[in-house]
Amino acid sequence: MKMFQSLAISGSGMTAQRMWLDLISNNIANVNTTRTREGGPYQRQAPVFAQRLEQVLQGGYQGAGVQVSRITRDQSPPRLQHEPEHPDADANGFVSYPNVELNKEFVNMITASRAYEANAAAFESAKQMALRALEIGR
Amino acid sequence: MIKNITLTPVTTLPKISEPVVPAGNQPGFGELLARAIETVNAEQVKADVTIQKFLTGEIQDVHQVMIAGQQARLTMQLALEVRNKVVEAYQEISRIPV
Repeated sequence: MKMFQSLAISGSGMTAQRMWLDLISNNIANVNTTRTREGGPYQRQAPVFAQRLEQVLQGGYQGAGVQVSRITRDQSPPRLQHEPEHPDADANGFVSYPNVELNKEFVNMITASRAYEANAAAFESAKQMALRALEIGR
Repeated sequence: MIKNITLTPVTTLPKISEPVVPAGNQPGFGELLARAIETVNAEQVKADVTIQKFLTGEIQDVHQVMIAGQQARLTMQLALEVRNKVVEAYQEISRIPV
């Protein structure tokens, strides 16, 4: 139903932001992970947000929310730390730690949670609009 | 300075023709009501299914559950308003002294 379009859009935004928060949590949890399935240290993951299209209008299009189209890996070099006793240390005694920076992750975390709240606020106001429309009939 | 004011002549409005209702073709009031109630019911069922999916772990987003619930609530409210209007109209007619 068209009445619920904005609700669905806000919902997709909340899903996307929650997914971003999942990735941030994963980055923070793996801040010291030196072993992954692909081998080598964990690489920071970030989402790529893509717009979902609903229909093409005259000279433009109507959007229908957002979705995470793919998840990228941060290709920046790993953090090297001299720990010769570590089993994953290289020949020179350096251990490659993940390129996760906690301060960056925390800033992203605040951004994601604020964006989630913004979507919730948009949802709330769409709901209020629908309820106001129903009050006309009274 | 204003020049060339042309006035369009008032044409007579086309006569309102009687609405042609082919008998038996148009959906009756009962059918419309049944369809509307069907929509409301579908939303309620959807909300129920969403809650079930959330409880069984199929859906992991709390907000999806809440959105389904709110949609069901809004459709229900709309149906209630329509019902109030219908009942009001019926009572108004039944109050006509014969």
